[in-house]
Amino acid sequence: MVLIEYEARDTIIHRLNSLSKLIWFSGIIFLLTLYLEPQPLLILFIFELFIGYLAKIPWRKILARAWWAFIFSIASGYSISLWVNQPSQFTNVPKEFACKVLIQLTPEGTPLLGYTAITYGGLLWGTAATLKISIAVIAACILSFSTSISDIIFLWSRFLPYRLSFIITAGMRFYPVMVDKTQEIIIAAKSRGWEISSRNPVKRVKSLFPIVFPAIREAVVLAEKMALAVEARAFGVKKPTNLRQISFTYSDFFFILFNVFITGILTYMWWFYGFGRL
Amino acid sequence: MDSVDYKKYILLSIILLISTIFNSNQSILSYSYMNNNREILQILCVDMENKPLNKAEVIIKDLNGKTVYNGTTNSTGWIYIELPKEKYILKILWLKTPVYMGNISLTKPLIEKIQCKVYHLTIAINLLYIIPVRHAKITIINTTSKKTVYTYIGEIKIPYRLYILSAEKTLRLPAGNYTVIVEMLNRQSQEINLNKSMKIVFPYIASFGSLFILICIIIAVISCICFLITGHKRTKVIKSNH
Amino acid sequence: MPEEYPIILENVSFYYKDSRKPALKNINLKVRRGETVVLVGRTGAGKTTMIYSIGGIIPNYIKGRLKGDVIIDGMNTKEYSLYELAQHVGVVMEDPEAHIVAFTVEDDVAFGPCNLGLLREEIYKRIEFALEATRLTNLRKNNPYNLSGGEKQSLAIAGILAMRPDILALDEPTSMLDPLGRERIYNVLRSLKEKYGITMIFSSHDTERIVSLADRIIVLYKGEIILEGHPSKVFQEVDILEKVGVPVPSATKLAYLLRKDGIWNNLLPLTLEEIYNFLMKYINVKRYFTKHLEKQVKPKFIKPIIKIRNLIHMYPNKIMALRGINLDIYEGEFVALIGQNGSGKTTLARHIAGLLKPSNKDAEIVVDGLNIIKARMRDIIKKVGYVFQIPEHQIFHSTTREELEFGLRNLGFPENEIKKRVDEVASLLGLKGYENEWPLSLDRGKRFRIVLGSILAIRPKIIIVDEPTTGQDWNDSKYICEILRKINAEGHTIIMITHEMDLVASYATRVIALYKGQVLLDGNPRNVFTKLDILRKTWIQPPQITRLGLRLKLPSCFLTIDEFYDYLRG
Repeated sequence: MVLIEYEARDTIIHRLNSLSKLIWFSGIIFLLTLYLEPQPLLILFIFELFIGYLAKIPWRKILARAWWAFIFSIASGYSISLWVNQPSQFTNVPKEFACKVLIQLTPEGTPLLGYTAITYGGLLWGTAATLKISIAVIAACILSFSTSISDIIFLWSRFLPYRLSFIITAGMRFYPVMVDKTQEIIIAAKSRGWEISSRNPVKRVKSLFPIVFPAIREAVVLAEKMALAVEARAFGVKKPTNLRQISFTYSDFFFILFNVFITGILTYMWWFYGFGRL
Repeated sequence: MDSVDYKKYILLSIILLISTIFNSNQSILSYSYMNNNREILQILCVDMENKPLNKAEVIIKDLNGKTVYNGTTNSTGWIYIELPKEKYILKILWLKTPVYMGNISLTKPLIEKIQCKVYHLTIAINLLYIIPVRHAKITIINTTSKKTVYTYIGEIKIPYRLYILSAEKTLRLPAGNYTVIVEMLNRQSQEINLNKSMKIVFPYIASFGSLFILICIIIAVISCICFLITGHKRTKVIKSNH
Repeated sequence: MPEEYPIILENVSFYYKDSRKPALKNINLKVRRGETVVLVGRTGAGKTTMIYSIGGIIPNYIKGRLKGDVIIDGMNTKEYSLYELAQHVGVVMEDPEAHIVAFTVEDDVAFGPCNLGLLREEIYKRIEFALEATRLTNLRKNNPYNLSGGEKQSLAIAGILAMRPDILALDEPTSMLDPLGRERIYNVLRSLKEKYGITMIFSSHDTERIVSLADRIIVLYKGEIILEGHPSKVFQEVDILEKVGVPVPSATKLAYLLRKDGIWNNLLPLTLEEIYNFLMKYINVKRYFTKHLEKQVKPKFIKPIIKIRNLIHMYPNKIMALRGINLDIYEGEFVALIGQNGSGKTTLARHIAGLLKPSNKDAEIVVDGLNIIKARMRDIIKKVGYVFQIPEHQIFHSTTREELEFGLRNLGFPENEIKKRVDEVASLLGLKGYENEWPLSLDRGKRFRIVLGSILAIRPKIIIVDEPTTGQDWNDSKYICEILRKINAEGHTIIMITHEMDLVASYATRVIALYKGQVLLDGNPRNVFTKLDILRKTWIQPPQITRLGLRLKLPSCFLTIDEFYDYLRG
């Protein structure tokens, strides 16, 4: 379900509490929404690599699992940048530089596509978009690798209503179970000669019915059993006790301080100096 | 007057008429009448970077030293003057400082491009070389005459580059010795000999914004170091949430 | 009264919604504090209904008509909500997966007490108690998803124990587990009984294990209690028990047969120990057993029907499931594939069925001349049929007929051929009359037959059955094996993955024991079951009667009670 699962390790990042990491992650996501230029994003990228180094991330594993995300980010970033070629799209970068056409692809008035060209400004935008997705993926990997799901669930249970956070937790808990069951159903169907061979989309959808119904049935049965089991464990009767505690160490404190100030500086520079604006 | 004189005048008139028709397309300006004694003088003033000088003061004096014309160049650096055909002394001033002096002989319509000794001075203002300062007061004093040639108070733009480290203001000044003073919360000055286009950096100017950023950077760096130190060993819990 | 009898059932009858037949009929029961009561009976006898009634699930969650009163610790279940009762009686269901809601063992155990709003210190105490009682202390930080079946069931029990109920009601806690898992659960239950004195009531088919655990056994039949008492008393009624489909321990059955001949005159024993001592005294162990009951079928052809060479399989998580298997299986064999969970049985079986591909290029799997590794699925299923462990995963349609036709339709058989084959198979498996029924409304035994039928209709030469007796009672298990024997007699090769050694002994002609991805033992059941030291590695115990024979150092290995009895009679 996540690109990389939690591993209980004794690194400086693992030892931080989940709230500190969530603040760090939120700051990253916030900055990613602000910046459109590749230069500050490159700094952020290097910063992420440093955090990943501290967390002793298995980079090869991430690359092996997330290579598609990186390819997607490059493809989507640069393909959308073909439409980033109008002077009105640039406020900070000199317009004559940004709109300078390197290669024109389709002229003005082309049906559906309109005017597309590779420009310097477009390349900047495309690079920034690629970096954004990559940073988000790496940050998410660092968070999931260094924070157990229980800690994450505990954290959002502090902010969300108990029942809602339980629904999310139960969904996440049973997702791998349902995946296993669905796999079994598919294998069982294949062992009876079932396959999706038709190219007709309607027939393809129809041929999924033998799989979908048992899978839904299993999910419903499991949900019913679980509902009974949790009711028998007094779910929803009272406000539950929060067993976990958020304990702050000095390193949590300094980490939060560091992230808050870095986010603050970069936001200030974006606002007042136009740093990161295209 | 006898008949021979009348014939001379008629012949001269015909010749003059014909020459007028042939010469009518020559000059940029078309003039509706022919004045035998005045010509058009067109001057383009540029600085040492070949950029047009707009609002440069142009003074033309005759050989006796009497000022016959005083005007300023337009936004594109051009000035158009009509003067009698004579020899003149041309003087161009920039910021009330002579930047060109020369003779011109106006015997026919003249177009001149005059490169004046005006250089570009780029003033880069930042705090500690890394934080741009966006507002400042810039004063430039001619060291020789002790007169203030330029004053500016206001926003300093941050130019678009791969990196942003300073705010910059570019001025054009006549060649000479100057004292450049930049003021914000503090004051810094530099003496320069402007004999070519140059850039000077004022790295110790503090503004509220730049000080704020500097303090944040210091806190962030200290926090990072403390985090790295404290994170490498288990420390006591300082607060737990009940 | 509640002090002495925390569980009281007075004239309890229960009808499920829209059902005219009672699931429980006039039940009167009192359970003492600290007593361990085991419910036995066939599937559908009412065991689960009784457990749910005691737990308050009926009538609070499952609606129906409940007559009479169920009083738990002085509380009538009709008047109290489920959560109020949950602090007095905890119910553990058959499927532990549904109980587990958290991402670590510790958090899951804490779930119930946290819901009660208790103080943190109290919750931590309860967690420690529950983890210790269920032997999960070392696994407290583990993700429940990665636990074994026995560990998951232990966790389900721990989660209930953390609520500190005085009563524990468990619905077939070991039916889904392998031998190791069952061993674990029985040890936990024993510990709860001896160390903590918890009142327990649970249902089980495992009569050989429960004799040492139960203070009282209740035999249910069609919703009524027909026998009740201490195991030593209940298991004396062998006739009644067999009639209602409750298996008796092998030692008991053997003694019963000997009693009929006047050889055994005491109370029927329950354990090996009791009968062993008798047999040591009365039987001449030097008598040689001359009859040689070999069930191994000699291969019809020299060429095997399944040929496997150098099969290696590594899962994506780097677990090496098979480490170079070399195997020949002959046509007409009834092969039992045994081994602990994780030994590679299912992986091997799925390779034969073409559902998995080997990790090495030089592996060879040939089934009836077809190279399975390269063949298409449509060709493979005409040779090999695979019946999965959970029938519900293989039921795709809303009527039995459609289900039986499913495989044939996928393969593009003509309508008349489909009809002919489906009718044949329905007759063979006793499904005539159920064609228009919804398969999931039928009992588990019929569901298995429907799934088997849909595969048999394709007429593959080899049928692989993965733990067909999971969750079945003894009678249903035997019935399934009888069907498999019948099919085997018609020429199909059967490969059965199972943990039931009694069934292996009775039906299999060949036993292959796997251990850590390799073949540990391969031979006829008699040869395999004598190798106790090797079998111990895999946590496999031969049938009780076989162990008795080996302990008595008899010259041959007995697989069934009948064989042993025949030997004793000469």
